[in-house]
Amino acid sequence: MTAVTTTPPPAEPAPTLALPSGARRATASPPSIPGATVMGMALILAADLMLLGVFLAAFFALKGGAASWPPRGVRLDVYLPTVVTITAAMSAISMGWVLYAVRRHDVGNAIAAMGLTIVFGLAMANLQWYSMSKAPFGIARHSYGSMYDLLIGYHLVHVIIGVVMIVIVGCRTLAGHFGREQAEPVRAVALFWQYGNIAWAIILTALFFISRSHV
Amino acid sequence: MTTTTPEREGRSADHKTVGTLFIAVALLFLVATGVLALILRAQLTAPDTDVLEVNTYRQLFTLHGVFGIFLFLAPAWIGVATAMVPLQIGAARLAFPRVQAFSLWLLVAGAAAIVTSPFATGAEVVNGWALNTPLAEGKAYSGDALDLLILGLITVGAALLIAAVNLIVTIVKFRAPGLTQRRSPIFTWSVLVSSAVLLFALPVLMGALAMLFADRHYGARIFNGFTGSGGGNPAMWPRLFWFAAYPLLWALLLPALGVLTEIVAVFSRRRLFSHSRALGAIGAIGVLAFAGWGSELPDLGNVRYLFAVGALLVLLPVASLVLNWLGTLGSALAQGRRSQRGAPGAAPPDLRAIPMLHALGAVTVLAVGLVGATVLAVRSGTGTHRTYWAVATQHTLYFGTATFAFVAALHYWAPKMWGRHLSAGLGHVQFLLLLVGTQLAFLPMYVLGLQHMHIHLASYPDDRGWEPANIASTIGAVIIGLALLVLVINVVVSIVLRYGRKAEADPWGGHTLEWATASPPPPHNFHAIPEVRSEAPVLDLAAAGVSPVVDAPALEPGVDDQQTKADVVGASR
Repeated sequence: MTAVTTTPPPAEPAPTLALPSGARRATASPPSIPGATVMGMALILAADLMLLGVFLAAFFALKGGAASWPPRGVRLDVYLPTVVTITAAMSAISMGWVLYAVRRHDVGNAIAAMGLTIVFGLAMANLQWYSMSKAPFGIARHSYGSMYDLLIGYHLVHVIIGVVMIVIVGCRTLAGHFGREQAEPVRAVALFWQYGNIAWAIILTALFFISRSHV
Repeated sequence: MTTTTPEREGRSADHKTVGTLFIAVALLFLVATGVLALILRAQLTAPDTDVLEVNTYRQLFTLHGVFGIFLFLAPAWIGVATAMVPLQIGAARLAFPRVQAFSLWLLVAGAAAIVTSPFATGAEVVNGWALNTPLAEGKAYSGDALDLLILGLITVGAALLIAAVNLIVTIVKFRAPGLTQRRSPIFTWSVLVSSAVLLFALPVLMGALAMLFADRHYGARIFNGFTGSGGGNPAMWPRLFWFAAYPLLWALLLPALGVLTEIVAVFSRRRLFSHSRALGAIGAIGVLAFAGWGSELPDLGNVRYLFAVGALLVLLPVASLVLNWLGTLGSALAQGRRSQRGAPGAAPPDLRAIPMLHALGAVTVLAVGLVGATVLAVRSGTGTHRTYWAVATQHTLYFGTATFAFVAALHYWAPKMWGRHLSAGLGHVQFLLLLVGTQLAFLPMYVLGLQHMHIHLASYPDDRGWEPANIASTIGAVIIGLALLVLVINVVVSIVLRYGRKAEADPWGGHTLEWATASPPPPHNFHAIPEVRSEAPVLDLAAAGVSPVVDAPALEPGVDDQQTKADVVGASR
C-alpha cells in the first residue's frame, strides 16, 4: 500500500490491542456531533437577547424618567417601519423555503430562496440606514434619538451579519455540502435570521407602538 | 514529508495548544497586575508620600483592576478549561476548535487596546475598574484613553463569550458514553456553570459599554444627563455594571472552587465526601451569583435588604463546598491513622503534594474572604463598600482563592498538559511565600477598612493611624511578588526549558478521564476511552487492577501514516 492513495485504507481490525475490559475503540475524531452547531448558535442568540435586554432596560428607564416620550415635537414615522416589517415577514418565509429546499437536497430552489432572502436583507439594511440618517433628530439630540439609533442599529447589524452568513452557506450549498442528513449550518443561519426578525418585532414595539407621538 | 502541513494545521487549533497560549497570556498579566500592585503599595506605604501624582495613581489602580479581572483571572480559567475539559470528558477536541483559537486572538487584540489606552492622547482613565460615573463629561474623563479602554473591554468580552459558548457545547454534547451529567468531573461542571453565568453576564457588560461608547463618542444621551436638556440618566451605569460584574466575579471563582474540589479528593486518596452535593453547591453558586449585585449600589433605599439576603445566600453553597472538602480530608486522615495502626485500608492522604498544599492554603484565604463577604453583604448599600474592607474582601475571596487554585491547577495538570512536572522544590518555596504574602497583604486591609480608609485614596495624612497596617500590607505585597517570581521561574525552567521531571500517564492516582491517556496526550487525546461507570472511572479501573491507559495501536507503517494524518486532520476540524 502506497502513501499516495487518496481514500483512507479500510479500517483494519486492530491487531492484538489490549483494551481494558469494556473499553471501546475511540473514533479518531467524529466529523461533527448532531446538534452542536445549532446549539452553539442558540447559546449565542441567548446572549444576544441579553444584549437586546440591556438596551431595552435603558430604553424603559429613560422613558420612565422623561417628561414626555418621545420629546415634544418629535413626529414618529409610520411608513418606513411598516415597510421594514413587511420585508422582514417576507424574509422569514423565504428563509423557511431555504431550509425546506436544503433538506430535500434541492440546490436550485435553495439558491433561489437564499438569493431572495439576501435581496430582502439588503432592502431592510437600506431602509434602516435610511431611517437612521433621515430621522429629523440625531443620536445626540435627546434620549429617544439615542435609543432610536441604538436599537435600529442593533437590527441593522443583525441583518448585515445574517446576509454575510447566508452568502457563506450559499457557497457551501453550491459546493454540495448539505443534504437531508447534514443541513445543520443552514439551520443555524436560519435560526439567526429568524431571531433578527423577532428582535425587529420587539424593537418595533418599543420604538413605535409604546412610544406615542406628542405633537 | 507531506504530513507536516496537516500536522501544523491540526496543532494550531488543538485545544491543548490554545489552552496553553491562554495560560501564557494569563501569566503575563498576572505579573503585570502584580507589578502595578507593587507600585500602588509603594505610594500607600507611608502617609503623605508623592511617589505618584494623584491622577497617575488612579490611572494605575484602574488598570490594576482591569488587568487582574479581565486579563488574568478570565484567560487563566478559560485557558485551563480549554486545555483540560475535552480530556476530562473523554472528547477528542472542543466542539469548535478554531473558534477557541479565534477567541484567543480576539482576547489578545482587546488586551492590546487596554494596554495602550494610558498612552492615548488627551485623557486619563482614572475612575477605577467599575468606570464610576461621572463618565461622559468632565475634563478628566474626556478623550481617547477611556474610549480605547471601552473598545478593548468589549473585545475581551466578545472573546470570553464565544469561548464560553464553545465550552458549554463541548461539555453538553461531547461527553464520553456513560459520562452522564451527574458523573461529570467537578471541574468540568464548574466550567459549565461558570460559562453559563458568563453567557448571561457578559452581554450586559458589553451592552452597557456600547451605550457608554455611544455617549462619549457620538454624543448620545443615555448615561449623559449633565447638560440638562434631552435626558440621559447617569444612575443607570452602576446598576448595569454591577448587574454584570457581580456574577462575573463569581463566574471567575467557580472554576477555582471546581479544581480545588478535585485536588482535595485526589490527594485525600478517596472519593469526594459527596459528589452530588458538590455539583449542587456549584450549580447553586451559579444561580445565586445573580442575586446580590445590588449590594454594591449606595442609592437603592430599602431594596438593599433584598440584595443583602441575595449576597448572603450565595455564600451558603460556598460554605457547603468547603465542608465537603473538610469531610473528605477528615475521613481520609482518620482512615490514615487506622491503617497506621495496622488496620487494612486506603493509603493516607498526601498532604505534602504541591497541589494539595495550595488547596489547603486556598481554604485559609477563602475562610477569611467568606467572613469579609458576610460583613459586606450585611452592610449592603452602605459606605462599608467604599472602604478598604471591600478591597480586602475582593482580594481574598476572588484574587486570593482563585490564584491559589490557579497555581494548584498548574502544578496538578502540568504533567498532563505539557508532559512535565513543575519543580516541587520551587513549588514549596513559592507556596510558603504565597501563603504568608497573601495573608500579610490582605488581613491588614480589613483593619484599614475598620479604620474607614477610602478605597480610592491616593495618599493620606499622618494623624489617622493607618500607617502600621499599610506597612504590613506592602511587605505582604512584596512577598506575593516574590512568590509570583518563583512561580514564573518554575514554569520557565520546568516547562519551557524542559528541565522538569518527565511525567507518566497518571502521576497522582487521579480520578477522572484525563489520566487515562498518555502525558502529554496525542493530538486526538485518546486511543481508547475506558468505560465510565461512576464519577471516578480511572479510580474504578485502578481498583480493579487494570491500567486505564491504552497505547497507540500498532498498525502497519503505511497505514500508520494514513491513520495519524486522518487523526490529526480530524482533530483540527
